[in-house]
Formats: sequence, structure tokens, C-alpha cells
Amino acid sequence: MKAAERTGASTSPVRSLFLLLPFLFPLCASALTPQRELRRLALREAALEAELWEATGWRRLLYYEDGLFGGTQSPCNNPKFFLSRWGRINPRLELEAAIDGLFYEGVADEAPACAFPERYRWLRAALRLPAEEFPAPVCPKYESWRSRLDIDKVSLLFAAGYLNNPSTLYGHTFLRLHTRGGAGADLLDYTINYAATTDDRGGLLYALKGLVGAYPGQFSTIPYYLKIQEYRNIENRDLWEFPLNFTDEEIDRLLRHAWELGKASFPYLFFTRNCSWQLLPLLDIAKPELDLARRFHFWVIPSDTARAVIAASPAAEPVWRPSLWKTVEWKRAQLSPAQRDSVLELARGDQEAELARLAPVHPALKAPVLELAADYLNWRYHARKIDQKELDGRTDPLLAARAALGPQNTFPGVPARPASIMASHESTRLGVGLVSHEKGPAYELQARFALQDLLDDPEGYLPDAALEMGSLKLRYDKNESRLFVQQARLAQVMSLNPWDDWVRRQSWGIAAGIEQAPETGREAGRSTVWAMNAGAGLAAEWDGPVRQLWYAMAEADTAFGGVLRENWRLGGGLKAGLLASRGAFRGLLEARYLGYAFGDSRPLWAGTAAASLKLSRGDSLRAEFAWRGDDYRELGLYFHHFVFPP
Amino acid sequence: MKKILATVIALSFSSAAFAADYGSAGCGLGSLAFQKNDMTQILAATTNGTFGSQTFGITFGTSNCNAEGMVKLSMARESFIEANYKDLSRDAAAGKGEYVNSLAVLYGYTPQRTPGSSRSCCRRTIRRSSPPTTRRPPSAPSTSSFPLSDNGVA
Repeated sequence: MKAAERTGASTSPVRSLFLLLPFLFPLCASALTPQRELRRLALREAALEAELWEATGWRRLLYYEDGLFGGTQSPCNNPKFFLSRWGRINPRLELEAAIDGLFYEGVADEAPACAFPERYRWLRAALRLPAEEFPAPVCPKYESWRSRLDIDKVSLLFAAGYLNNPSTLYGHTFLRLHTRGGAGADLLDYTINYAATTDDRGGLLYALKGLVGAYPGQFSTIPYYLKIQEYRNIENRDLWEFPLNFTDEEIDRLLRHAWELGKASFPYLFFTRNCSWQLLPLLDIAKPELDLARRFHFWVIPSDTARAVIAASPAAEPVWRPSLWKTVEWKRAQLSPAQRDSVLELARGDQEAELARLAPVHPALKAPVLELAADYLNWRYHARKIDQKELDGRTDPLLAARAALGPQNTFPGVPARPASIMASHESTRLGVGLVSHEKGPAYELQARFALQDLLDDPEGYLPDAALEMGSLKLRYDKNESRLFVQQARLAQVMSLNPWDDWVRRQSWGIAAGIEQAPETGREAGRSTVWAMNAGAGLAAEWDGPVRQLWYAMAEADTAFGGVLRENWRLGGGLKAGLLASRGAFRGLLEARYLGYAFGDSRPLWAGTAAASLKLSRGDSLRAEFAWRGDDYRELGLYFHHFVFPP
Repeated sequence: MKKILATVIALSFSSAAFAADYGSAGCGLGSLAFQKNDMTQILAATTNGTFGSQTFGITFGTSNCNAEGMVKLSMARESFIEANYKDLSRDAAAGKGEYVNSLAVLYGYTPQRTPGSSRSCCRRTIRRSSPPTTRRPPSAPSTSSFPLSDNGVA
């Protein structure tokens, strides 16, 4: 099309097709002059001599990795990302194709240098090409894109964990591009986001495909206001913004490479090459001394990558954007009990009557009530408590009444910022323990990949929650001289939500893994079962000198193992507990009673009383007394140390 | 000034934006889903997965987005208003907030950050401005009642 315009589009279709031909085969049609051809060969020669394709810069720009069995490959599986047909598996051929691309003579925007601006910047520098011989290419498309992204600052955004969606349990990270002079209009910025393009929603297939990298991951520039809608409003998560001190040159590099990534597509792997990891090579290219990507191996979670990125930048104050509910809660705290009742009546009760009752109230007292009621309705909508119709029907009269009051100084100030993930412990926990039970002492070694249980200090993470993945406890029983797996938990998630009449959210928990069932009569180490349970219930908070969180849940439980009669059991029961905390101390009392209707019908009565003391950001001590069945009792003392994941 | 501007614009535009049969909230598949005013659709549109198709640097465009995966300049205001309609109307009713500030910037105004100055600025503007002539949804707050706010206590 473009070519046709250039050559005069008024000709017949056949003729214009003819005229198009040279543009369809630009490289064949426009043969280089002998001098240029010699120069091209000389440059190839120079690159060969310097072994440029082995250079870190080149390897990073094309994401080359050495395979386990030799050879080099780029995980990027979009052929558009490479100039050479063999570019994906051969850095040298790709480099030579890039050198050939320097001699491209054709439509401006289609030059390789326009498709890969950062790659060519690197190549020019590496080959020390004089600017007069190889002038910077004219790339209108790239230039127009870049001019709309007039960026003077980049920050890393971290959306806090979200327990209601398994794929973002541990949070999400993305980059925000701050428009030059855009202070005060943050919402209008763009973001750089890496995500998997998935077809299914949830389910086993979804999880499996995510594990093996069957989904393609791609970069996109999503308006920041959409990311805020997504995380802050719809998913009700806190958004943290950590400024990265990139220079203008580093920002240029970042955006040049981001443009190249528009053509890239990587296999998205939930645990390793996920949304959070894939930002790291991009940052490494923008600022090579960061060298972040190499630090992560088997397990990449967003809070870790965020911490690594932030630690590599000089300390800057993070910006906190509280979740929708936290904003509502903060505003509610500023109202009198009568005003709060009024808000509830407006949002959930007889709105018309309440508006009439409020009519004579002074505007300064009425305005915050109306505003909070509208905010609260908005939260109720996003929490799926009401539908769009009710939201509109109830919100519009409130806004009309509020607008009539004119400017009012409602809710001055901002909510106090809680501790950020910079204050929280590392994600992987190692532990040693000394255990005493009736038959003598035992020693325990523990390792847990992520992230927190109820007794770990939740600072910077979700409060009143357990989120454990891959927890292994190995025990050596001294008297029996036996080494066994005391516990190998695949996952445990527990979300305790203190009851609040405005929220009315229940508490819940799930767990699955291998454990010992000494209540069956066999000693620990010979009573291995695979157990799974899920429960739901209520929690209540009492915030006194010692903060207390009481909870009770109905629980369904099943277990499989040779130690059980009929090799399995299935039943249900009740679990109740108390989580107490004050300063560095945390205590947990929990008891559960389960009756089984199928399989082994012997009931299970078990519980634990434990306390933990935080020694420092990375260390804690824990004492735990546990009982299981009528006979089994144990007391253990453990030391925990948090480390950066392997 | 920006408050009035935002109120008028948000309320008049919204009816047009919702009436038109396009989704202007974003680019790619997300915009399609935004056409339906259904909670689950919006959720689907904004979860990580769906927006993956909104990539850039390759020829991929929808009615709202250019080939580079950015919101078309001509659609920037509509996109912003549609995606943030509820937040905008709450800000507009309260006469302050991040959303109206950003919208004002989209309309070429520089945000004023001193809270004191905004009152005098707006009362002046209101006296000068004529009542809005654009149509607005019937249930929306009345913008003409805005200037009658001299009894406000800060």
C-alpha cells in the first residue's frame, strides 16, 4: 500500500502490482555497490574475529541461554524476533544477519534497524561504526510511538498478593512509565506489562499448561488507569510503586528494547519464567549493572523480584495506593458512629428515607456520609455483592445530593502507609528443630519455598493469612534410628478475615500434602498419609493490648494411606483457633475434631499450641506443642531463618 | 474550573460513550469485553491473560488503538471516561479527586494542587459559564446546582 502510494497510485491495478515488485524483494532488487559489499564482508570478518556473538550484550538482547546439553537457544519462539532463519538457535548467524541489515536499502519503517532499535544501537557501538557512514535510520513508526511515550521516570509496580486467584497468589509486578511533566495526572501514564495469553480460565488443564509453558507470554503497554481498575478496584489489592532511578539514557534503552519485545513471545512458566521474572532481563538491558535475571532459578515470586530490583536501586520512598476496601475503611474511621449508621442505611437500607432524614443536616457533616456511601457501594459492586443496576440506582441519588453541597473539605490527608515488602522477610524459610515425644528425642530439618504461615511475621505481606508452598520437614528419630518425612506439604492457604458488618467476608483455608498420622496407632514415621482438607468459617478480632483473632471453621477432610483402615477416610468436623500477637510475639492455639463417615471411621482429635518470637527480619524462634489422637504428644523447639530463594 | 469542566464532560460524554457501539476502554480483546457492562466481562477483560493480545510494535490494531498498541489520541478521552466512569462521577460530585484531575489534564488543563485556590477559581468560573447544553443521563447529578455552594464549610 505504502509503496503504491509512493509510485503514483493512479495506475491500473496490474501496473501498480508490477511497480510493487521491487519493494517486495528489497534485498534482491537493490544490489549493493561493490564497495558496500566489500564493507559488509569486512564487518562480518571483524565480528567473526572479535567473536561478537559471544558478547554479554548480544546474548542479553536476544535472550540466548546455554542448554543443559550444550548448544545455545533463545526461549523466544516468535520468528519475527529474529533476522536470521536460524537466529533462535545460533547467535552467530543472527549477528551476521544483523550486520547485513545495516546495508538494508528499502522502505524506511521496514529496515531491520527500525524493528530492533536497541539491537542496532548495540551493534553500532560494538563495531564502532562511524555515524557519517551509517547514519541513524529513519523510523517514523517507532519515532511516533516513542514521542507518545515521553518518559522521564520509570517505577516498578507491585500489586500485593491476592488469595482469591491462584495465578496471582504472590502478587504481580509491572513497570510504570511516568510521562514527563505528568505529575498530578498519574492515571494517564502507560505501563509495561508481561502476561500470558491464556484461553482457559482456571481448571487443571490451565494449571498444567502453565507449568509446562504452553501459554505464550507477551509484553503490552496497558494504560495505567486500567491496571488500577484491575488491581485496586476489581481485585481489591494494594498497589506499591517503587521509583527506579534510571537516567535518560537508560530509559531510552528500556524503551528501544521494549519496542523490540513487541515482536517477542516467550513460553510462560508459572513458577520460573512468569510475569515477574520476564521484567528482569528488560531491566538488565536498560541498566546492565543490575544483572538481576541470573539471580533467579527455580522459583520466582513477584515479591522477591521486586525486592531484588529495589535493592539494586538507591533507596527511594515507595508510593502506596491502598486497595478500594482500605480506602473505605480509612474514611469510615473518620466518621462518628451515627454517620456510619447513616452510610449503611444509604448503601444497604431504605435510601430514600435516609436521604430525607439527612436533609436538615449541616453540609459539612452530610458530605462525608454521602461520599463514603458512594465509595462503599462501589466496593460492594466490585466485591460482587450487588449488580450494576443496584449500583447505579443507589449511587446516582447520592451523587446528586453530594454535588448539591458544593466543595467540602471531606477526608483530609491520606491513609498511613503500612510496611512495604522491603521490611518483610525473604520468601524461603529454612529451619532446624529439636523435638521431644514419649519415645525420646528427634531432630528436624525444615525447608519451605514460600511464603508465610500464621506465626511468621506478616509485615509487608498479607496479614492474618497463611500461604505455604512446598514445605518439607525431615525428621530423624534417635531411638529408632530412622529418618522419615514428617511433613511434605504441597500447599496450604488460609485467609482469616475478621468479621466486619460492612464486608461480611468469611474465612477459609485449604491444605494438601503428606503428613504423619500417629493417631492410627502406628508410630510417627510409619504412618504416612496423603491428606487434603478445606474449610470455611468466621473470624473475629479483638484489638486490645494483645491483638486477638479468634476463628472457627467447618472443615472437610480426607486422607489416603496404607496405615488407615480401608486405606482411606473421608469426613468433616470443626476447627477453632486463636491467633494472638503483640510486638515480636505471636501465639497460636488451634484444635480440630474430625469425624469420618467413610473408610477409617476413627475420629481425629488434634491440635497445637505454639508461640514464635521474631529475632530479626530474617530469623525467628518457635516453640510448639502438638497433640494428635489420645496418645501422641510432642514438644518442639525450632529456629527459622529466611533466605533468598534458590 | 476543572471541576465544572469534569462534571459537564463526564456526564454529557458518558451517555454518548455508552450509547455508541464500541468499547473504548483499551486495546485488543479487552476493549471488546468492555462493551458489555457486565461485571464478569470486565473482570475477564482486565485480568492478566486477556490483555496479552494487546501487544505493540507489530501491526495489530482495533478501532481504539493504533498499530503500536496504544490508545489512539483521538480516543484518549473517551477511553479514559468509559474505563473510569464510576470513579469520575464520584469525583465530579465531590468536586475533587485524582480522576477529575487526570481528566482535566486530558482536556489541556494543568492540575492545581492548592486546595484553597480551587474554590475561588470555581465560583468565578461558574458565574461565567452558561448552563450545560449537552444532554445528560436523567439520573445523573445536576450540574447546575453546583454553584449554589456558598454555605459550604471547609
